[in-house]
Amino acid sequence: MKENKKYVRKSFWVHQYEREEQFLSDMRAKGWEFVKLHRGIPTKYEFDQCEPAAYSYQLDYVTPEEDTQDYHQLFRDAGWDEIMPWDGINGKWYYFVKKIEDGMEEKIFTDQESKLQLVNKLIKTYGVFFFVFILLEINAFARTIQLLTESSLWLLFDIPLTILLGAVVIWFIYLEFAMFAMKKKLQEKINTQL
Amino acid sequence: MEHSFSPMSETSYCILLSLVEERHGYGIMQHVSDLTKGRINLGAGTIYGTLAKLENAKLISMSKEEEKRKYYKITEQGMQVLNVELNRIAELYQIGEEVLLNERE
Repeated sequence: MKENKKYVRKSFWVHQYEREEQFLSDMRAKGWEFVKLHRGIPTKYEFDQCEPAAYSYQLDYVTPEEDTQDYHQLFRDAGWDEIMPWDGINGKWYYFVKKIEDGMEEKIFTDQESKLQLVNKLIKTYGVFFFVFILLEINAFARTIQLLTESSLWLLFDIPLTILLGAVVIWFIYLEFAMFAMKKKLQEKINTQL
Repeated sequence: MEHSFSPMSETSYCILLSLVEERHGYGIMQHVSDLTKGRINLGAGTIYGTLAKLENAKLISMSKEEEKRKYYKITEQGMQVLNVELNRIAELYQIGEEVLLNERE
């Protein structure tokens, strides 16, 4: 008997990890169990049909230094099943799942400080990349200006490159802003505690 | 990195208190849940991140690694910080009780 499968194509950007968790939990509640991710543009999500049930899906971002045996053991001990890792910039996203028993809330981060720690880590990691791309863009832009004065044939290569790098820089600016907004929201929650 | 230890977050306080005896991450989780009769259930990510923070600040140190689990114990410096925090909370409790008892009389 062939199992029923479902594929969903959607993108997932760094600032959307809470939405990603909600998406997977919602799918499970509708009877679709997340199996794995396939590379592609946009990414392809594979689901198996299952009994609808309440499961908590959680994402954590782990840098190579933090990616130790005891990290994974701790999550196993706490009852989390690891579905799969997904490569990000200088780190990995880990997908965790746990069954929700009698309405208990199941989260991997249980205070504002550790949620903030995660956002800070993401801002920093992406910030380094952002900076590298800004330098590349400045370099490409300067070269294009130089070539324009010379009416060089290299312009056929350099103009598209400058535009492409510019687009990447703008996208990174957007991601950083989105993460700063998350950070601000978390800080406000901490600051407004009476 | 600058750390301010006082007032301490509930999470850090509970973990530090739990590490008066040597424990691993999941052991801390269970112990804190037992101590607070299930009120505080620390998440795995929160435990992992806070242990790193406390270790960086030298308030705890790793004592051994067994079957992929790291065990930690409070340091002398951690003990001092915990006592300062305990006194702070005791003072708050005491003045609270005084004021409220006077009110009732």
